[in-house]
Amino acid sequence: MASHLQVSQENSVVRDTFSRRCGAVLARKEKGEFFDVKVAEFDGAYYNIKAEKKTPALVTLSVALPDAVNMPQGAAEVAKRAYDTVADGSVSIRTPPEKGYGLTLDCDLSKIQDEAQAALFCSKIASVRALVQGIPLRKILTDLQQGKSVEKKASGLQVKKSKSMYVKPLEDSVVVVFPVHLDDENDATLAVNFLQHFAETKRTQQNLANAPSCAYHLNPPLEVKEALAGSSQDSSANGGYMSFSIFSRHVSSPDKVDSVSWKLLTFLHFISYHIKASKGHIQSRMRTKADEWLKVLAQAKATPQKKKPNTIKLQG
Amino acid sequence: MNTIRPYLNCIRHTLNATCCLRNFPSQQIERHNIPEVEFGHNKELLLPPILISRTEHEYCLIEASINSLRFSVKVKQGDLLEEILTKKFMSFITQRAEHFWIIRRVPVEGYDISLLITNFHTEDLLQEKIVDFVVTFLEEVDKEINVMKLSVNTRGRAVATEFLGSMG
Repeated sequence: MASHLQVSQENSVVRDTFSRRCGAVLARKEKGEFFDVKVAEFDGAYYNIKAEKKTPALVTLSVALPDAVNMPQGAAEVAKRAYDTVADGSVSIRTPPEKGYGLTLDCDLSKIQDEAQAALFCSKIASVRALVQGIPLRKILTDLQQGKSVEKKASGLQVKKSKSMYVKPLEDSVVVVFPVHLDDENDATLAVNFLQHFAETKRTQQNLANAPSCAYHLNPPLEVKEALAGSSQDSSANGGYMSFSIFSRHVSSPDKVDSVSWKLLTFLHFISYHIKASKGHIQSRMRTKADEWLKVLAQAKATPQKKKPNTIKLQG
Repeated sequence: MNTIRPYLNCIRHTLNATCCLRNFPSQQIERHNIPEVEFGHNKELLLPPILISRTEHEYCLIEASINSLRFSVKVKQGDLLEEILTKKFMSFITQRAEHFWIIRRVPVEGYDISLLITNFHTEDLLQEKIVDFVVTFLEEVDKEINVMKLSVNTRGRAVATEFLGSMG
């Protein structure tokens, strides 16, 4: 299992479902089991996996990105290309996709030759969301990697409903700004404290010298001020603004581009997860402490002295 | 030397002295027995309130009367986060006032938490132990809030190390 400190690219339910099916196909079982699984993921993304009993090798996977996030252009081609490199012809894109989903993949598992390939395929198919949702961001980062980045106006990139990130490409770097807005004012204060220490770590820890530089601002940073003006929530985020500067050394290989773009895409979710966890921790401490104090107070209750009953035991 | 000690000692002695409560039925309403400190109907039954401060931001108020005693605390709040943690924590305790017999359901205005000790409490409970409880509470509440605050900060740092480290 992936560490709790990071958001995994793979959806474990999707991966496990596919790997079970792949195992059955590789073992040349005549019949598969029927299933129709709907899986929800953070930020309101959905997966649907369907398979029929008679055709064990055919599995259909549909993905819906979070509300308000459109399927990026060229998602079908990108997905097709990515899966063809694993196992040629294993995936075909259905048009139009199933109702309610942005992308539907028909997977033919009989194209998979051996277990190693199956494992790779399952892990790739389980990270389909990262693959398609990351397209716009990956494009910007790939430009940076290839030295083609030019200074552009900052643009917003919707992450989920009413949550966006802002990206400003510069010649030598890409600045990514996250407005952190929380519905609850108290949570926002917690977030401010949390993020201040988050940003401070970069300055104080020597082993992070190569990491992207990050800064925390309570007011909108200048780079993206114009772009932020479009949204009243983002231009006055109560949790402040976190900004990262990504340089070409952070995206020096396609794998790095993948992982950095996914980490940035899930940053807001990641932060809110940890803020929630902090709250939970605080709550449990309060509970323990309250119990302790109750025990202290309970000592005040004077225990009445037990009187020995005056009884006579009759012998015989 | 621990600077909180004199503050707590002072509170302990004052509470011990003021905690001499007796049963006293209301003088106005027949067959009623109400905590005089809450109603203040009779001036002659109230004692002058005592304010004990450790610092400008950390103090407590002891209001005593013939049959009841009200003790209100203001906990130190250095910044916004401490303020919120104190508010959360105190409301957590206040919601459990049922179990903490002596805690008042609503704090006195300007304070974070109030205790109301009546003569019935001192009859049922050992007075010395009630005072012990108050002192333990005061001693630990600061510490606890500090630990909670630190836990948020530490998590921020740990998460950042992991997040940035994996991108470096």
